[in-house]
Amino acid sequence: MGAVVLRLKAPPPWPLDLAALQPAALAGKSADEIARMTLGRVAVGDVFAVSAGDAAELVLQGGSPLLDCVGAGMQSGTLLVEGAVGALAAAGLRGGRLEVRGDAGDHLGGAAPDSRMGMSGGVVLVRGNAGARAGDRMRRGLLIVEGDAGPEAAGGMIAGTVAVCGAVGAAPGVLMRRGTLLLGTPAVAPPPGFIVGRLAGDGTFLRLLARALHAVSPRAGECVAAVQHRWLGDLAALGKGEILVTGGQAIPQHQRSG
Amino acid sequence: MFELVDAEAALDGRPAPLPQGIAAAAALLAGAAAPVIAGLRTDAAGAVAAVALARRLGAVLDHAESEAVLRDLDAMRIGGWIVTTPAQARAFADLVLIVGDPAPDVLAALALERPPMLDAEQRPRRVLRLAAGETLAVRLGLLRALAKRREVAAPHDLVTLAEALAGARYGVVVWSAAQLSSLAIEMLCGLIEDLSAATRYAGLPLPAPGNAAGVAQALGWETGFPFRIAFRDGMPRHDPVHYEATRMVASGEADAVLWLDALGGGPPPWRKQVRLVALAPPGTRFADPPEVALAVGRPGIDHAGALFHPVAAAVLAALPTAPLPRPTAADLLGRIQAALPAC
Amino acid sequence: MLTRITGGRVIDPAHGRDGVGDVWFEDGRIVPPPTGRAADASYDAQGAIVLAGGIDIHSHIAGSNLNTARLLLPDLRRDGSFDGAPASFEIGRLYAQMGFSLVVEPAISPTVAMQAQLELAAIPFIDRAILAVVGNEDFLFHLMRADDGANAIADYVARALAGSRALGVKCINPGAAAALKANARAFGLDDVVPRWGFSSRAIIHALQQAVATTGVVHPLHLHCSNLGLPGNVETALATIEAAEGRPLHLAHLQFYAYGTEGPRKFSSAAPRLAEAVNREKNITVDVGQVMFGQTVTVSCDVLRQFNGRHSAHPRTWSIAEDIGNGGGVVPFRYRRTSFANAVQFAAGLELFLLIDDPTRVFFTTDHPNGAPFTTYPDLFALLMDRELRAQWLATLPQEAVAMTTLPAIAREYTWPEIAMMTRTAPARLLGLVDRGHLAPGARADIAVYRPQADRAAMFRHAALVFKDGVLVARDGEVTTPRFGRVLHSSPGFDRAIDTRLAGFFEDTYGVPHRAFDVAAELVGGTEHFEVVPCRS
Repeated sequence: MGAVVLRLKAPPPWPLDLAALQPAALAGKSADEIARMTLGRVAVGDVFAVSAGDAAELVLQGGSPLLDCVGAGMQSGTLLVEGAVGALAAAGLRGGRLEVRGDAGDHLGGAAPDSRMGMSGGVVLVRGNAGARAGDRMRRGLLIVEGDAGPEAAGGMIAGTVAVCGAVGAAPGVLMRRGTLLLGTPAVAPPPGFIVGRLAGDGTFLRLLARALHAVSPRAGECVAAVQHRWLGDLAALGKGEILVTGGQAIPQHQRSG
Repeated sequence: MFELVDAEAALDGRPAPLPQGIAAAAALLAGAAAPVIAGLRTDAAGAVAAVALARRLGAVLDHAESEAVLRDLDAMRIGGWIVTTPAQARAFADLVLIVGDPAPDVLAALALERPPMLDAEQRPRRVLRLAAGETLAVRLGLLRALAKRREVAAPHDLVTLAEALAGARYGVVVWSAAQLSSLAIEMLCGLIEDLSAATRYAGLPLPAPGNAAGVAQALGWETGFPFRIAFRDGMPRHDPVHYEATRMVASGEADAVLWLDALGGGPPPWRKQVRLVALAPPGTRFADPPEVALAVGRPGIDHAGALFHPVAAAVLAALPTAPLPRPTAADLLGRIQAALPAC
Repeated sequence: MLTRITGGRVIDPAHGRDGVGDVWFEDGRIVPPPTGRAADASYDAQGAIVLAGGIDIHSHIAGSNLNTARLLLPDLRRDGSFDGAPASFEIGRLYAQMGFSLVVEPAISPTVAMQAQLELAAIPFIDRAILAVVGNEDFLFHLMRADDGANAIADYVARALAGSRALGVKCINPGAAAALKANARAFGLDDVVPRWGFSSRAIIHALQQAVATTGVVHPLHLHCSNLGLPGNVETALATIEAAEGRPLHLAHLQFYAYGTEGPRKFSSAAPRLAEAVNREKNITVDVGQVMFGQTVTVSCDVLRQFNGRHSAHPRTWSIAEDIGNGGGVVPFRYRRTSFANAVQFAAGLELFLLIDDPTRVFFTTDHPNGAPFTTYPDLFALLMDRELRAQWLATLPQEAVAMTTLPAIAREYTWPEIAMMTRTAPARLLGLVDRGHLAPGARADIAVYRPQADRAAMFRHAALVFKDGVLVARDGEVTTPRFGRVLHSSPGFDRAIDTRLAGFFEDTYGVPHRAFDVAAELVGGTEHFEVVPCRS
């Protein structure tokens, strides 16, 4: 049978909290059981055509910015969205893999409402753009945005890796404590609270990072290859975070990942 | 334009006796699939009654000023905070940093022109200001780095400000959450924390209007959560994103609203038509007549009520200044609840 | 309605009763066995234990600090497993299920009493009371300097009780909150408040005298300085000595039972403290037992909370200063694997077991500071069962256990001792003549426990619980909510103190002092309250 597939029948009537649709929880359920699950005032079957499956794989066909909390709190399995998602996708995600083939809203991989911690494991890949505060207070894991990200990306980050291949909004890495923020758009000066640091001599770390990212997103892997600057901060907080920035000019081929 | 005049109730703008208004309100709310109790500008008793009604209806509860209160609560939850009260700041603070332009009434209560009353040396206070605006969070970040004595490039005015801040014995930082971003408030709390390593600092988050702080307290003891609560099977769930009343009305998710405004803060902010029961003081003007309007007494004016006192920063009894025999919000909500069909 | 509980083992230490028999009640009061009348309702208690309703003298169940804990930690409550700061209704439900009928919230500053009383009014089933916190206000220091100091302080204390509708007087780390405002980071018994020059010792003396003058039965309820610090047993011993034979209640003594011995310079000094308490008959204590798990510390000891904020788990806190004590909320997790937490756990039990007079030591966890009150069933079971203690101790770091004498203590609490500690003695300590016992005239506050192998399960869900003669819980399920009363003292005072308060408050704080008074009509009216008489 394979993956559970939920096909969006029509745009949702209002923002829906999809946190209950966890790949592991849906595996093995009948189409009827899934259709009867409620999302606030509506049932899953009101919004989605359900095709049951037995694997911890969930595919959402069709997206909408009104689909909130997609993959929020996810611990295992894979979730693929063939379209856009709303706010709080992957909020508090702890494991597994979420891929969004479209745009994501605010607080991607951030803290669930009421919680003080962002995602703490797993892999999140957004093919489009992300809203404000992507990777907010992230503790662990890998979050890649192939498009642009809004303001305060990786804000309050504690550890882990956030990669934004496109442009990034104001105050990237604000209140960052530790962790790595990779920016794919060339820049020359660090944001406030960050100071210029040295790139590690032989590039071993970057090669490892490039390999890890390349496996998920070749585009993100290529950004690593073009890294020219390393900025350290946020000095308003612990100050042990790093922003890696491409300089617009690729570093030599032999340093690139295989 | 409809103005609630001195009638007990009005149905679609036509005066009606109160029992008829109560029955109509109960019927409207009982028939709703997703009712919302919003506004919540009321005293503690009104908030308690609203919780009971929401529990019974399976309704959402939200306050007109919840955004500002939740911003402060978020800052507290994310990194902790050190705060004080206006009364304590008035008596002790030798330096006051005012961020943005807080409402003048509480600032006046601080008597900033006088030295702190309990200061032995009676030296004049230093009053400093920091403008709100888009760059505030970034500037506060630099101030924090300076307060931590880190090598960071910062504009001269911030360097001077950081030096002044470090010289306080008991510094107080005043802000109104409605004017600042969540990030800026988090930065302010962090700045206070950083400065507290060597001297004493405390934040003074000023309360939002409409007794928002008092209602947040009442909801806290009644349900364990502040506003943006939904009741499902009698149990409260708190979700600051999905239980926002304005958003629920705009999207059509909410199909009926009980707008509770016993403090005379005005009609709902939305233009969209939604079935509406309004509890408001006489004189309140609505763009369109609500389906049901009930005249409610004002706590602290018409009747006694427990309200958040902005200077004491505590929920205190507010005795009536001109008592009138109007029903309280708690009375009306209780009568509506009693008129609901048995479940 | 005449009701009879038949055939249980009735234990009422107040009247030396311990034997199988009946308890009769009517119209909310215990009555003598009537002659010639049959009961309208009868409950079979054969094989069960029949006690008066439980009384908790120190549990943080209301007030703005506790409410801040609720608002600070919504995420911990999401799965329903965290009892550190339940909603008001839940507090009443959980206590009633365990067979309690009265709980005292021991730390309400008069400036926040109105909210605390509103919260109490939302707690069903049980009776409630608050203690009013004084000892860190500049107004008090101002009076201590005045010529008529002693009388004026007694008037001030009585006025504070009246304004707050409080049962007794609490003093929390006297002088320390005032000193923190001047950037002190430590404050001991003989440190002095900057500007005023009064020591903690002097403040305690002044307030002990004031409480005696007012005639309030409950002695000054003191939270000593240096809470939680290694070696602070010396502070507690010095404080006991400083009482000079006058009545004094020391709150959550476990948090002061620390020596500096051993490899970690942290050890239990409970035996020394227990010895001092055994010797000094003017002293009563509650323990503040630590139990393992997530909790939240809620305290008006703002200096202690300020200093301890960075040990928060999860990493968040609220430190809130005010014109008196202020307070702080710092979440904390006591871990079985922690050396220090294991020593704390053992030290609490040592105090319970080494203080030989069950009329002077009270069970508390200082809810929620040592643990949520929902851990009482486990605590009572530990006190009654040496074997169970050994099982718990076996799970703790043995180098920590070695810093205590607990493994060597054989004592097991008997049922009469449990009844004395949880019913008889607390009623006496609070000056309540019609609670805590089962003689005719007492309120029909009754708890019936059905003994079983798992004692904690027995205490968690009393078989029958009556409040004022009404069945409020049965086998852990509560009935339709009803509300008990709020107890307070009402000593007289010279109204001239109002004039002095008015001048001080309006100029210094910009708020009239009367604005802080509890308005009875907003919390259920006068019927909601019950006055506990003072000594004449």
